[in-house]
Amino acid sequence: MLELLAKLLKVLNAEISPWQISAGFIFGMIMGLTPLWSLNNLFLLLLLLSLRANLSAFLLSLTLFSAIGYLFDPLMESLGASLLASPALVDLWTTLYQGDLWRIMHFNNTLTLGSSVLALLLALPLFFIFNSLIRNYRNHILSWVRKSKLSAFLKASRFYGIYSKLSGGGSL
Amino acid sequence: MKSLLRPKGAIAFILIATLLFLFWWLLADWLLKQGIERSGSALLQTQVELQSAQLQLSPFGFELHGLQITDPDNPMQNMVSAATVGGYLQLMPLLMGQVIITELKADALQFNSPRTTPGIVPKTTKKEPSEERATSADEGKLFDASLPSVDELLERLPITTIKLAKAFDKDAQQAFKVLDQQITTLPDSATLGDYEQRLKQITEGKIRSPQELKQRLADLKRLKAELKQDRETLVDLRDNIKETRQQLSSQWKSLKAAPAADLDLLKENYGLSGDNLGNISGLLFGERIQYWVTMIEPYLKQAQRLVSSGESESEPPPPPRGEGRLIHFPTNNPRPDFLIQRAVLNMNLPIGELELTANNITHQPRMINTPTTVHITGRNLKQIATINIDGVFDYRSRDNGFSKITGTAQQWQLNQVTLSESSKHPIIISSAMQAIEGELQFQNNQLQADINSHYTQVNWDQPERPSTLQQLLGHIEDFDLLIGLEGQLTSPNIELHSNLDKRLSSAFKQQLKQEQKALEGKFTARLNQQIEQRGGRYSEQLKQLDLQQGSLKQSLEKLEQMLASEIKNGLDEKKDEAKEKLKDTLRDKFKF
Repeated sequence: MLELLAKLLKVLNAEISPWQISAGFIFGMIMGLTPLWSLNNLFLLLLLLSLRANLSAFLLSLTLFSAIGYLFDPLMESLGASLLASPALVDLWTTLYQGDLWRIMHFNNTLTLGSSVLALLLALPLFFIFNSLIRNYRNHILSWVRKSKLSAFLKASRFYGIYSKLSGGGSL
Repeated sequence: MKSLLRPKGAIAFILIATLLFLFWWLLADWLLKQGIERSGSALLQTQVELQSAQLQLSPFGFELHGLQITDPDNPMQNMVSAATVGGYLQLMPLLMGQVIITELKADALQFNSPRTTPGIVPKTTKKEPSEERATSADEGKLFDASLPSVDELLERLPITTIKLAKAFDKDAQQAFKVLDQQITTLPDSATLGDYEQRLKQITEGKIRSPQELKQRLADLKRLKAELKQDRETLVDLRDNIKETRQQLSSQWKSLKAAPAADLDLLKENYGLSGDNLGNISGLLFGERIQYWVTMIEPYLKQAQRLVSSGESESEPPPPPRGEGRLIHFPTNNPRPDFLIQRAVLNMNLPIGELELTANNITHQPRMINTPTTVHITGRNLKQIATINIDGVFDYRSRDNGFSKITGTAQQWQLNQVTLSESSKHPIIISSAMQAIEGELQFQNNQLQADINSHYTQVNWDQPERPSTLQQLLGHIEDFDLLIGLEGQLTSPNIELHSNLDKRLSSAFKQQLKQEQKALEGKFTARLNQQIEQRGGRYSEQLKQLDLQQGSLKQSLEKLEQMLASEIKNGLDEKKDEAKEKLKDTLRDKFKF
């Protein structure tokens, strides 16, 4: 866990574009909230690797949102169930049901649909929020952190050793 | 700003996906084995073991070897075991979350086979030993049709003969004691002779003086008083004898009539008419059929639950976390979540090999609009010539779903079939041939079944000292049994009809009649013995009474004679003599 946090700090402090980090977070969020072993996530993995999204951010986000997903599992399940039972959407679902690909994607699974819809709804706003947070961090917080007593304390800890090793001797 | 795409990423994806697949494929067999053993053990609450498991890609399927499911009640025994279980699955539906097994085959399926090492059973699943059937002792009573002994009957019944006989003994003894005491006070022959002698002295001989006459008259008066007293004693005794005789005669009459009344009481209390022996087959087979119903009940309920569980209109239970539920929509090619299109199970049972073929096993029958069907047939059977069972489990209709099973078995060799577990007189068929055909329907929790059995070449187990029923059954070599079940599955009404009843009842009645006659004879003899014992003594006593009466009569006559005739004549004579003497004296003195 310490290693993962160190990696995140390294990413945040490195010369990586904020959108790459945000994209990594978003991919991690989607895969974390939805059932892991599914065709959808295989497709997401392809996208993650094909786009220049940050993998460290992805892994941290996946860990974090898997726990959140487990916590909100019943809520997402009932969201999917109500969507699939919605009379306004029955025609859409019936049409999708006729296609094997959609069914392989388990669109008609209450949890898959509920969690996917929630993750997709959160994806775009969170992407911009993350972008903004990273920019603000780099512009305002990073220099303050480097001068703070906390930084001096952290430099003396085991965590800093891991960070230095990963960043090739770079400072906080 | 760097390029948006990462070309090496796609290659990495392909590499990762290939590695994942290879990893999965290499471990697939082990994963399948582990998965089946763990989930099976958790589901069945007993150890599920596999020797090996193999997954194949084309056609997509699996093969399991050495399946063993431990019997939770006996860890040294397998509840089910199979040499191989193989099946083919449709891959596309599997990716869609539906398990469609096109063919499932199990070979050398065995039940209750021994294990070499004990299986692991969670402590909580070990069942307490079931209670012994509490009916065995009662069955013993039911089938112990022998009649009670005379001594037992005399103890159990309020027999009046003995009571009356004892009362008669007491009263007679008392009465004779009183009479005997009275007899001792009677004048004996010496006394009577003395009376005669005294009377003679008073009445005979010359009276010499008026004083002597006066003296004699006084003596006569005294003697008369004594005679009167004795006469009264005699009259009292005579009356007593008469009364005692009347009383004892009346008691004797009642005593003599008592055995007949007691015999009626015996018949009434012990129902020895044989009319209550009309449903022997019910007694013999009822418990066993009830046991069979109890045995099939969970299977029928399970079958109903399995084939209709996916059709429930009620709110489904929440799915396990992280899984969700599949919601189905109208389609031209509907598929249930689980379906075994065809299953062939070869079972090795003690009676031989049975092959079970089942089609369309699913919990969502309306989705495929076809009922589940089962056909069982036998091969290389040891005890049955042929066996055929067909079952239809049709739960396409929510309200009128039903299970229907029809079956026949020909030349079924039965050995050592215990019908009654009585420790005293068990009813056991040593050997018999059975032909059976039946139909069973289960709908809306109502069971209806008609089963016809024909038994031939029946040999009954005969102990050294057979009961009446065992003796009678020994003569019956063939019989029919019609079983009707109707009502709630948990407690159906059982109707049994058998020609065994009629034959057994008739033989029973005949035998009972003989036994009853013998018993009645013994019973009456025993009671009569009571009377005869007393009869001799009583007649002796009566004879004595009669003699006594005769003697009394004579004594009374004698006394009466003495009191009336002899005394009267004596006095007149003396008076006449005295008168004559007085006349002569006066004539002599006053001779003119």
